[in-house]
Amino acid sequence: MSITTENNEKMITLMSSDGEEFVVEEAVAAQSQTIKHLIEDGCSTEGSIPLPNVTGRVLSEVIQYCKKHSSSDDKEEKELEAWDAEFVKAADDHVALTDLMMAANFLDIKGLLDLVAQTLANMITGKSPEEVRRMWNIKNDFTPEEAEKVRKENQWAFE
Amino acid sequence: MLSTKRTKTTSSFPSPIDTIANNDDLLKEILLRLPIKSLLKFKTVSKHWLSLISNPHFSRFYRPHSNSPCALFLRSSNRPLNPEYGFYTLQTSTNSNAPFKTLTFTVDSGGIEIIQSCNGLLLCATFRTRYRSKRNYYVYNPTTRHYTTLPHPLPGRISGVSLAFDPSKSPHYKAVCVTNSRSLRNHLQIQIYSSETGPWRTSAVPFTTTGNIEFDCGVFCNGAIHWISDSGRCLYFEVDRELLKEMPMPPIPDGWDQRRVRYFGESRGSLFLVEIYKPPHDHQLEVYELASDYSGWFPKYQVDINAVAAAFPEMGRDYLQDPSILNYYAFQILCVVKGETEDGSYLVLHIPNKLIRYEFKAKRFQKLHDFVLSEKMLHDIPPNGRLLAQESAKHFALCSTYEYIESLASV
Repeated sequence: MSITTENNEKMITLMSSDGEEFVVEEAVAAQSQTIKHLIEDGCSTEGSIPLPNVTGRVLSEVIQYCKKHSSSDDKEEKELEAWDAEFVKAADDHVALTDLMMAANFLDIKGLLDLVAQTLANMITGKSPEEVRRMWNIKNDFTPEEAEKVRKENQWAFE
Repeated sequence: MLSTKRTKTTSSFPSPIDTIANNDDLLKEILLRLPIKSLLKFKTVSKHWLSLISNPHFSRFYRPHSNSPCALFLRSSNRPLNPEYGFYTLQTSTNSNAPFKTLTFTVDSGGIEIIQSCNGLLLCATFRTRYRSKRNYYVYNPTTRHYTTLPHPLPGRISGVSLAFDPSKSPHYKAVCVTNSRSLRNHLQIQIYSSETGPWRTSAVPFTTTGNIEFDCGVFCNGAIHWISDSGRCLYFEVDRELLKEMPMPPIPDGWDQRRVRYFGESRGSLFLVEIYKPPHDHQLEVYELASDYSGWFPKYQVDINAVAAAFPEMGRDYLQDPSILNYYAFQILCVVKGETEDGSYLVLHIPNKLIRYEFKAKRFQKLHDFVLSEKMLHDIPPNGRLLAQESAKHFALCSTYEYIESLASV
């Protein structure tokens, strides 16, 4: 069962892990290599593709990104760049960005993965190792001597 | 007791932050996009981060400027003890600090100079020594500031040493040394050292050359080291296959007995050559690229020297009076940089007291740097030379240039 729009666009339904359904044009969804392969393998015949790793909140953001990027063939690159910048800004904090990155990875959307990874990298650039640990919930498992040794080997980076 | 504890841990849904920190692939995606200074600092975040960042396979992929130079080292003076290098960034926007002024990563009583820059690593050697065989050779990564001393090549008079390093193919590097042959008179012999498998060993058969060949100025490109000669055969050595071959060159025009090579270098896997036999006054300067099958050189980029000279009249050597004289314009080509796309390709010109970036496609150029003669430099010039030093075009001196490519490669 597949729905078609007035423009004869084939539509498919994506179902998030929390049961939310999104009806999108196949061309939009196919920006995700994972979904594209599922469609090709005939996994969408039931009318909807379940995405057990992505919540509805994140999926709606991902779809927004895919819509923008699938309809932007002839659009100015500059405009798209500005849109991307606004898009990651709207994700607000690194927790939301991390969600988005996991989804981009699972759905295999290269452009989105690149965009989010760069945004997260920019967020920690210039921060101290201590700040990064706090932000990412990482335990410092160095002894003071070990840490000092690594610091010495890379001394100029700490200057 | 035990069961409640278990419920507690399993019931707490892992926060996405935890998941990403435990997903090496995603973590690497983020780390690869960090500037090098942050990356090195983050080696102290945790042992896990240290092992990820130190892994040679990670450093191979970490190429913040996709193997393009972000700055140049220009040898600024031949001080008696240790040569000094100026550091000049190639983007007007970036402002990174010089990793060094003189090479002092280790104590070498003869001082240390750069011989070659190769995809992020610098081949360096003792600067002052009476016997070439006594020279120490070093491989230095100016980004991480780590170095290694190469073992001494096998006995023989050394004509030159070159570095072969391509991080897209292997995290290891090789060094190639040309010495005189111990078995055949008037023959040369190639020796190879590998950072992976170790010691120097002789390679291939002894060979002869014609004319002067500059084994000291090898250019590494696509797995081979290329040497040019101003009068004889030009050669290249395929390092992995250990094959020595002749490189075709454009013919030397009638009336000249020597090649006038003004630039020979590599960028993104292409070799570029500039020869000048006619004054660029009434035509454009032609940059040639070597066909990848070595079938010959073809014109690739053009430089409108007249436009640059119109904007920077100090390029004109007024005392020569006539712009149609071959050397009327004072300029030196420091590097040709192939962009990711054709739009991004440019070259860097050194003109009196300035560095200029020239974009081929747009024919646009901009000043990158002004060389300001410091009080100290003026002091070093004898009084009667000071006026000359300020009258730039006359003072214009060519200088050795080495590209700075950020790299995490271990040495």
